[in-house]
Amino acid sequence: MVLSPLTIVILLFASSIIAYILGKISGKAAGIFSTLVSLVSLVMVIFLLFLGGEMFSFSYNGLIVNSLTVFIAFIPAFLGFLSLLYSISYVKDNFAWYYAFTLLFIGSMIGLAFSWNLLWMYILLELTTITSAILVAHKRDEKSFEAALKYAFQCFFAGFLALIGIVLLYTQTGTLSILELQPLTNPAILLSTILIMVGFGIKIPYAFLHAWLPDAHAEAPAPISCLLSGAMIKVGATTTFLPLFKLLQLTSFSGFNTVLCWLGVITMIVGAFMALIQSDIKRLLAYCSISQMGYVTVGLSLGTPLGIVAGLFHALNHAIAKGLLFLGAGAVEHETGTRNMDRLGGLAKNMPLTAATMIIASLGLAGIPLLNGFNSKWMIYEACIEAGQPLIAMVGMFVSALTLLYLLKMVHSVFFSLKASENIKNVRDPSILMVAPLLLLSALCVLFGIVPQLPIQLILVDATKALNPTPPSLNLFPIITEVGVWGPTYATLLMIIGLIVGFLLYRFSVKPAKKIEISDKFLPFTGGLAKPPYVGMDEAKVPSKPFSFAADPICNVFKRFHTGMLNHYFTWIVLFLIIFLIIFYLLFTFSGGC
Amino acid sequence: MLEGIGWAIFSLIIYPGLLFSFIFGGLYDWVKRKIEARAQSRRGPPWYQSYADFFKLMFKEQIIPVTASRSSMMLAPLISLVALLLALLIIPFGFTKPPVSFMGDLIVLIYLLVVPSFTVMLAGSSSGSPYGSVGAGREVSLLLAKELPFVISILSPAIVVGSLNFSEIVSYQLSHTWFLVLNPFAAVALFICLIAKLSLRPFDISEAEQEIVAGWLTEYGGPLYGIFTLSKFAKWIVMGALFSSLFLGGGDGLPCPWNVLWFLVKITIFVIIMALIHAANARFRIDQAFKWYLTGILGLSIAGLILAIITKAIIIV
Repeated sequence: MVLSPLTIVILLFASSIIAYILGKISGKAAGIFSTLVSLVSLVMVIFLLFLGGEMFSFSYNGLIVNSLTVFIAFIPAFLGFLSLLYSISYVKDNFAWYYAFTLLFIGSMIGLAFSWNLLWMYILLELTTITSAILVAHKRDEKSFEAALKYAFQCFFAGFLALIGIVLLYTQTGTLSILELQPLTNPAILLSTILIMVGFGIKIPYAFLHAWLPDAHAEAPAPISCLLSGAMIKVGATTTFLPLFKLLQLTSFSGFNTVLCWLGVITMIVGAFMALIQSDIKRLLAYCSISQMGYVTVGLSLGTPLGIVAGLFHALNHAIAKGLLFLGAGAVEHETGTRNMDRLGGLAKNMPLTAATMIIASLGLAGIPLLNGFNSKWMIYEACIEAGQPLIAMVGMFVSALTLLYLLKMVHSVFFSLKASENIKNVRDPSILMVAPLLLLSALCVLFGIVPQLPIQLILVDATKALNPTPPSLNLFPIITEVGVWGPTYATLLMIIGLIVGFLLYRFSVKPAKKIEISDKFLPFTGGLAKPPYVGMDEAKVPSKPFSFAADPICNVFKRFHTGMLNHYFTWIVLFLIIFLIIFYLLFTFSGGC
Repeated sequence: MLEGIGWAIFSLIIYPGLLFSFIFGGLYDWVKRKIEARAQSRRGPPWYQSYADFFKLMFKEQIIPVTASRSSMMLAPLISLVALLLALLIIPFGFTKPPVSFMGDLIVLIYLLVVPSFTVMLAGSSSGSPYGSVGAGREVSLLLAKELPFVISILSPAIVVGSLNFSEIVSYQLSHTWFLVLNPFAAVALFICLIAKLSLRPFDISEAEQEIVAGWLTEYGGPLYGIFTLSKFAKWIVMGALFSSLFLGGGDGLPCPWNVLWFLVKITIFVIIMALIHAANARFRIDQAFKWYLTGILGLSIAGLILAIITKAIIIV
């Protein structure tokens, strides 16, 4: 079998050596080579999609090809290709290390996506940590070293817990294959389940296990942030949920589902409130990732077919939109030299393509109808209400408003507000290699907004069967669930008609009447107090205060968790473990097993 | 399906879409202005004043300031108008079925009603005016305050009915009774949230004319402002129809022309009460609005939620 997951992984791993050697000679050559290799791996993953369908496992029963694994592997393969394309003109130094480890990183993520054996999962998960930690430290300054170390130590610590859990599980059940796992029967397996949940869950990350994420995402080079946030945490999410589905039997709704759902809700709230008070673009986006992974967690934890479809769809949409946002933030940083939103402003005129694509992605994530994020969020809410959890849907909608709030804060202060600072006056859109991924991803945002049936029909319904064999009761044109209806394609048609009517109204009403020649007609109104260059216009930028208003008390509570001290973070991981041990043990004893 | 789309386009442009909402929305806008004027012992404008304002705006020259981001500034009013027109297609207008049955449900509606807030933000910050920026900032922070009680109170009837489809919520009220009676807490909470959605006093914080000129609208003039006026008209109809369908029983199952008329009577009463509140109150500061929404109204909506859950449990038993 030439075309197998193992071939893809080996190809990427082997190419990393060539990329290293090429990188020592010429950065451009290494970049082009790595991009081509990742393109080949992407094509191979897409081929597997058409080849897969029925499950077939290999002799050492680790790697499995089915719709779910191919779907999850598609995300790192696709974003990996775009990130490497973007890297050609983005990366300026340390080519050899950068390209070699990026290929290793992508390879280990694809391998992780395909692995259905807990030991393989553990090894590949640690491999993603090692490779990406080195990439986070790419800049080789104090801050990036600190971020990389924080990231690596926390993930290793959690990884050891997972390893203990895996060993314990093996002693109890005698198997590590996901396919052979049975619902838990005794407290020892319960303990191992929770150890695995914490160890793997740090990659989602669940709330209070998230301390590594903002630093790592912010300090990494933009393409690596895109991979970390777009691909790695998605792969981590399915890796965590695969054993949980089997061990806790999440397919039949029980107390475990409720607890995991509320953990997802807490995750989304913590991420959203922390994002609200950031002034660094990439840190804001990193917290946004935590918040959005809360939605994915909720969708998957519901365990119903609709919930799983919705969760996986949101993972895909978040991968697309967040990948775009990180690449766009990288373009802004690349051109202006700063990530601080207080020093940016008015870039919409200078960087129209970056601005347009980033605005589309922001609105997509915030869930404006007819963009991709809305469709998956809508499905998550429907799934919540269908499963009898309307409260979760309500909190989700509120967090969605928060998402709109902080993403608009970013859009406003980067692209619209006025700041005639010298260093951003002559900024232009970056080179075509950096803009092309942005355009492609934003086109996908719009496409999946208008025709969400495309990914759902193509792969997501099949992928769901790997977790919950019941097919979802879902009509697709328009999307009709048990409780609601939404026809995005028709709505788009009507929206276009509405826009045309509105535009015609505007167009045919503009009469070039008698022109009044006033010299400052086209200048904004400032009450006539100031002549150009408008004393006080700089202060007109909306300060962060009104945006984070009233959120401050809540934010301050969450802020206390970020002390920056590793031993505190370890303590929280252990506390998380103990709390969930108690909750799950109580659930286990009172429900008498699953 | 083709005639379905033809009907949808008819609904979008004629009834209850653009033309209808222009005529009746303009009328409601006048009602609000007249009541406000009478409350202040003024005579108030004649009945055609809102239309006259609209047509005057449409025949003015369009001025876009040099500091503005041109495309965003032009898109904002159009998006706002279209979102509200789409929202009108989801709400049943006197009948039990919405005009276009395959468009969406309550959740879609909630999100479509967030879009106008977003366009306010887009309009304000892309116009390059300091007042615009301040207005936009105020609007989004108000969004944060009102969204949670809004979502909770709007979903309370849906929990009782067990469906997010408007047609089922309206049918449920036919067989039982108005949700205003079944769940007064949620009704009052939603009503107060709608005051802010309509940006009326005491929550017209984002366009407070005594403080920040016209807020996010400062740089708008001519046809683009005209389109914003149009979407303001549509907003009256959308919010009135939403409240009447969810809590006042829609058309109450009357035969064809009477149900629409009865529905319009309900919207008119809704508008008159809104206008009285607008005329009688002074504006809140943003922090007062926050306190008001996140304590009182949130509490009220949670009471409504608990009542809804209890109602649901009683029905099952």
